[in-house]
This record gives sequence, structure tokens and C-alpha cells, in this order.
Amino acid sequence: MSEVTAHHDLEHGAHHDDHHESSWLTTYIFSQDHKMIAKQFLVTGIFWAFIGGLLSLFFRLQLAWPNETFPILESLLGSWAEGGKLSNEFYYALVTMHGTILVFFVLTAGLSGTFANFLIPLQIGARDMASPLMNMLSYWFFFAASVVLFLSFFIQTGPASGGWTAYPPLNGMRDIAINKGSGLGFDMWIGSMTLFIVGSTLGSLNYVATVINMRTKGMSFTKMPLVIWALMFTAVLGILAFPALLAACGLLEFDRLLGTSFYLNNIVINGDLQAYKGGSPLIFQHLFWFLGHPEVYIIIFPAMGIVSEVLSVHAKKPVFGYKAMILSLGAILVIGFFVWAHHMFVTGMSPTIGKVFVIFTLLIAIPSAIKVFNWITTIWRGNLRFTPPMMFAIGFVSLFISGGITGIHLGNSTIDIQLHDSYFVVGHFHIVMGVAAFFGMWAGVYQWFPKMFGRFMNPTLGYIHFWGSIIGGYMVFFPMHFMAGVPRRYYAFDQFQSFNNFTDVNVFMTLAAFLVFAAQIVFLINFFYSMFKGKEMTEDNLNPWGANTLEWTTSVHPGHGNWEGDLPEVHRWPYDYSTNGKEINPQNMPLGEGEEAH
Amino acid sequence: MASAVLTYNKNNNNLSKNRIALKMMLYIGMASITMFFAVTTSALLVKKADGLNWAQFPLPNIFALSSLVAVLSSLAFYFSRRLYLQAKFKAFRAVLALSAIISIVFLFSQFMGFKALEAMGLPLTGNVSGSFIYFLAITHGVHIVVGVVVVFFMWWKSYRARLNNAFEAQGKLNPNRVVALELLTSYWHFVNGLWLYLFLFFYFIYQ
Ligand code: HEM
Ligand SMILES: [Cu+2]
Repeated sequence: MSEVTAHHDLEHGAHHDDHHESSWLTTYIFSQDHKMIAKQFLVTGIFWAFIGGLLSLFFRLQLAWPNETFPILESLLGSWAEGGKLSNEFYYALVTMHGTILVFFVLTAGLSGTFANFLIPLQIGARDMASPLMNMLSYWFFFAASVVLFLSFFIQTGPASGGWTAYPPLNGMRDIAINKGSGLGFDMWIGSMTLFIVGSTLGSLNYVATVINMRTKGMSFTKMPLVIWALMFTAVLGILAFPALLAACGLLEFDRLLGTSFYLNNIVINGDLQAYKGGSPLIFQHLFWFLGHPEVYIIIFPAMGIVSEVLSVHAKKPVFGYKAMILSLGAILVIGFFVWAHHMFVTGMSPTIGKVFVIFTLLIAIPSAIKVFNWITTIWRGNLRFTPPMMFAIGFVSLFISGGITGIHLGNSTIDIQLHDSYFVVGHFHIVMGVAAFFGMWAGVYQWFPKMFGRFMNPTLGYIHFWGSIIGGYMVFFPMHFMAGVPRRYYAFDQFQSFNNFTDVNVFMTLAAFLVFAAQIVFLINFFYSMFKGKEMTEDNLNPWGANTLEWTTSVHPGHGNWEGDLPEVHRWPYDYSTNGKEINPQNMPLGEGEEAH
Repeated sequence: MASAVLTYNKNNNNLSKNRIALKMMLYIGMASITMFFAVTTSALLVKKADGLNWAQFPLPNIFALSSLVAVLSSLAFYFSRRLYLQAKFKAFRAVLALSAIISIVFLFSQFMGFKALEAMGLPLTGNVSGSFIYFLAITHGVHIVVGVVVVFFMWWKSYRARLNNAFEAQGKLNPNRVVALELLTSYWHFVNGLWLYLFLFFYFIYQ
């Protein structure tokens, strides 16, 4: 038996290079330690969240005061806001990039990239991922995707501007006379997405293989924390759904660069009939939403898992309906692949097909409701500690209910035909996905920050962050439900008399958006300050929240390999709270005499 | 934030666990690739069903030849792995290279297929029904190219190992090469099989 030090690249068993010099570069940049990769995903995600949020402030200004000029915009954005007024073209670029950045870079990569990397090995009791090398590559593909998308802001024709859903025909031709953003900016969008999909797939393969194969002794599937289940299902969704986006983008680039007509038919530009013939833009929509709907679960699953964990830990109560939680995630995973056409009710599909998709869509509300019920019963009569992670977890449940209910309205095709592409939809998905998933992410950040950095975040600033976000978040998106007759993606509402009565509401929502953004600044300060100056975690208080899961059995700054000596052995499920006469019963604690495993 | 240097028993790493995990990653990756072609061929069916401007035509014969070549390439790979396991390293290398070369022939035959389509009045930018064949064949071809590159890499490594390596030079199998060959075999048969699927799909859909 040979003893080796820390960093042992499992992939290259052949090389037996037992002494990896860990330099600054291999520790912080090209690290293969899952914990460092998680932090890289988190910091990159936070960077993008800041950019994405900032863009929304710009276009909210335009929506609230379409007539005013803001000289500061010109100094920030130059020719895109000449005279201090956003150009209509750049307005569309802003909404497009806002959606792309938040959906893919923040709430997909930033959320599951961070927590799958950080939590999977630590909670299942593994030294690292199955393939640390591929894990590192997964981050660097994401990084490359980020660079490409970021650079697209600085090219002459500007970034993509045809919507985050990238529909053809608008995005199907490189004709910048029609739409500047359909030029190079959109090619960069496709390039960035392609890199992103490769990176996300490499990561997902690793997550699934790690969860299935690398669990420590005693960690059976039914002893796994729910967040691990959620992260594994997220990865499965990504593996099966992202190929559809890749195919959609591939066909789109063939149309754009090589002149095929997959999505295009009889296009007339300025009176000239273009050569494209015989394609159908609906094919793009099918492919896009075949990813697009599972994608919303890719975003929400990690948040759901984190929330299940946090609620139970801070209520000091076992999760209610553990198996029902797993089964409902599984049901959502499966049904989620059969609902995509609810985004296409107005495309003229046959009512029979529409009905099938209505039924599947409404069906998915059942497992969603089971989860909500179980979260509430988990904290019901619990011994609640309203720590910042707990506040965000409770906030998540509130938001998920509010946004889920409007989903049921939209899932009925008869109602959706009225509501489609209106602000009602924008309200729905921002509450249920946008804000809720952020709450899940923040719950996770506040919860695991001490494990990540060995220091605590400041709770007071955490509460300010929470209240600013929940009040502000509802103030921005709740009023949108009253604008069910107002189309989304309009540049200047003062051009339409019928929308005049929403002028004040628009101003209100914009002010609220600034409130939310201010709360995020508080978070940013707290995050980066605490990383270096926060209250330190000490070796005699390694389990500050009183959690049962294995990550809290490591030292304050665990090295690559996570555990000194042997891996911990698991004897019980993770939710033995307030049982056995004790508040907490860590998973690695052997069963007491006469005690039965859950 | 300096992280500790840990000491732990290397056997705890459980390399065999890890090997199973790698294999599983490959299989899941293949599931992902399968989804790509499943959704794209479904898109083709949806397009065909709308009946708008859809040309039906007999598939050029050269694509049938492609299928034969794909089978041969898989066969060659099968034998090269067997030769390795029998420790016939020289023959292994020769047949390994042969299978890659056959796959290059495959790519060439696909290119000839494109020429044949063009001659039938179906260039890439022609009728959408033809464009789909180009798209699927090209995206499939990318997977073949990746395979060929990896095979040549493996050939190069085993060529270098023929003299100055602890294993092959002494007539012993290198356990890492055994695993790599196993993984590569799965991939190789998978991508060749993928073409057979595409061929049959085209054959029945375009008649
Ligand atoms: C109770 C379950 C839900 C139902 C029945 C439901 C139903 C719908 C329907 C029918 C639409 C299409 C509206 C339209 O465009 O006319 C829609 C849009 C959307 N939903 Fe949901 N939804 C549910 C939950 C969720 C969840 C959990 C998420 C995300 C985590 C989500 C994210 C979205 C997004 C992003 C869109 C709009 C995308 C766009 O057009 O840009 N929904 N939802
Ligand atoms: Cu959907």
C-alpha cells in the first residue's frame, strides 16, 4: 500500500506521477479539484449575473420613460444610445443578451456548475469527480463560450438581437440591413452556444457517472441527499435535451452560412424574393423548445434540491416524503420531455395535438405540487432558524407557488392563445424561474459559503439582500400579470395609445428593478468582503448549521481528496433531525442500539 | 485559502470504480449523440409531413457502398482489438491503422455521395429534402473524424511503446491500453452503426 499525496489524477493511472507540483496556476486556474472548479463556476456566474442584471436596468429605463433621454447611457454605451436614448436595435440586443446570459450562463452553468461540482463529491463521500480532467475542461469550455459572447458586444454590428429563443426567419439570414444583430453577432451567439453545450455535456456526463459509481461505503441511493438526486437528474436532462439545441443551431448556421433553406421559405426583402425555398421555421421552434422546456427544469432542479436540503437543516426536521420528492423529480424529468409544444399553441397546430400537450402540461403540475406540499410539511411545526439560507429557501417556495399557478393558466391552450407573448408570460417565467432559481442559488451560496471559503457571510447584509430581493422581485414581476393584453418585446409603449394606462405601472416596475439591483450590490459586497475578511470558521465548529451530510465532516480547508485518511462510511439517511433524542445525527454516525435505519 | 495537503490510502481511490465510471461516461455520451440524430431525423419527418416542396428521390447507390465500408471498418477494428489481446502487437498496429484508413475511405465515399446528389440536381442549397442528407452526413462525419484522430493517436502511442515500454516491449498487455481499446471499440462500432441507421432511414423515407 503506497501513500500518496493529495493530487492524484485518476484519469492517468498509467503515468503514476505521484508528485504533482501544485503551483499557483494549477491550484487556482487550471485546477482539477472539484471544489476549485465549483468556485470558478460560481464567480463566473456572478460576473454574468451582474452583466445580465445591468442590461435589464438599461432596457427598463427605456420601458418606463420611452420619451426621456439619459445622457449617462450615451457615455456608457456610446453610439448604441445616441443622445442618451437607447436605439431600438440595441434595445433588442439588450433583451436578447439578458435572456441568453441569465438562462444559460447564470442559471445553468452558474447554478448547476457550481453546486454539482461542489456538492456531489463532498456529499456522496468521493475524493473527486470520476474524471477531474473532463471536469476542468467543462469549465474551460464554458469560459470560452463566455469570452465569445462577451466579445460580441464589441463588434460593429453589435450582439445578437433576435431574442434569446433565436427564432428564424429573423435569425435565419445574415442580412444586417434587416437586423444588425443577425450579422456576425448572431454567428458569435451560435458559436458561444456550441461551446457552452459541449462544456455542459462534459460536465453532465461526469456528474451522472460520479453519482452512480463513486459513492462511499453505505451511501445507497436512498441515503443520498435530495440535492444530489436533483443535480443528477439535472445532468440527465442536459444530456438528453441539449443535443436538440445543437441540432437547431446547426441547421440554422447551414441556412445562414451555406444558403440552405431548412427554416426559410419565400422570403421577400425590400420587394426582392430571396432564393430560399421550401423550409419551415416551425422546425426550429420544435427543436428549440424540445430543449427549451427541459431547460427550465435544468434551471429549477438544482434550486429545488438546495431548498429541500436547507429547509430540513434549518427546521431541524426530517424531509417530509423523501421518496415522493425523488419520484416527483423523476416524473417531472420524464413528463418534461412531452410538453414542449405548449410554447407553440399559436403556431396553428391542430387542436388535437394541442390537447395532448395541454394534458401533459397540466399533468406536470401534479409532481410540482407534491414538492411544494412536502416543503411546507417539512418546515411545518419545525424548530425554524431564520438564517439567511433559510430565508431564501422559504422565499423560493413562495415564488415557486406564485409562478407555478400562472403556469397552469398558460398550460390551457384556450387561455394561452390570449396570453401568449404578452407580459403575463414574462411575469410567469420570471417569478417561477428567474427569481425563484436565484433564490435557490442564494440559499445555496449562504449555506455552503463557509464550506467553500472557510468563512461566514455577514447575516445582517444577508437579510437586507433577502428583503430587497423578495419585495423588489415581486414588485417587478407581479404587476406584469395585469398587463396580460400588452405584448412583450415592444420597444416604445408610448407609440400605442391602448397601452397608455400602463405608463405608471412601467415606471413602478423600473423603480423596483433598481431596488432589486441595489440589493444585489449588497450581496456582492458581502460575498467578496466575506471571502477575505468574513468571520472565520474554526476547527472546533466544523458543522455550523448542524447538518447531517458528509461535507461538514471535512476540515475547514479540505485539500484535493477531501478527507484525510479513510473516506467516511455512511450508516443513515441524511435527514435524521430531532430523532433519536438528538437534534442532529450525522450520516456517518453508526446507528444506536435498537435504532432502525430510516 | 491555502488548501491542506492530504494523505490518504491510495487504494481508497478505487481505480476500478473509476474505470467503470469512465465507461459509463462514454455510454451516456453516446446516448447524447443518439439524441442529436434522433431529433434531427424527427425534424426531417416533421418537415416531410408538411408536404411543402419536398422532393422524393432514389438514394444514390454510393451511399450503399458507404454502408459496406462502415461495416468493414468495424470488422477491422474488432480484429485489431483481438490481436492486441492475443499480444500480437505488430499485427494489432497494422490492423488498427487499416481500420482508420477504411474510415477515411468511408468519408471519401460520403463525399462521392454528395457529388452524386449534385448530379441529380440536389445540391446542398437545393431542395430541403436533399439538404437534410448533407447535414446529417456531415454531422455524422465529424464523429468519424474524431474517431480517426483518436485511433491514429492510439496507433502512435502503441508504436512508441513497442520498444521502451514496460508492457508491450516485454510481450505484456498494457492495462490502460486494454481499457482505452475497449472504450474506443464501443465508440467505433457506435458511429459506424449510426451511419447504418441513417442509411436505412434515408432509404425508407426517400423512396
Ligand atoms: C406548473 C407548471 C408550469 C406550467 C403548466 C407552465 C406552463 C407554461 C406555458 C404554457 C408557457 C408558454 C406561454 C406562452 O408563451 O404563451 C410557459 C412559458 C414559460 N415557462 Fe412555464 N410553466 C410551468 C412551470 C414553469 C417552471 C417551473 C419554469 C422554470 C423553472 C417555467 C419557465 C417558463 C419559461 C422560461 C417560459 C417562457 C419562455 C419564453 O417564451 O421566453 N415554467 N410556461
Ligand atoms: Cu415550457
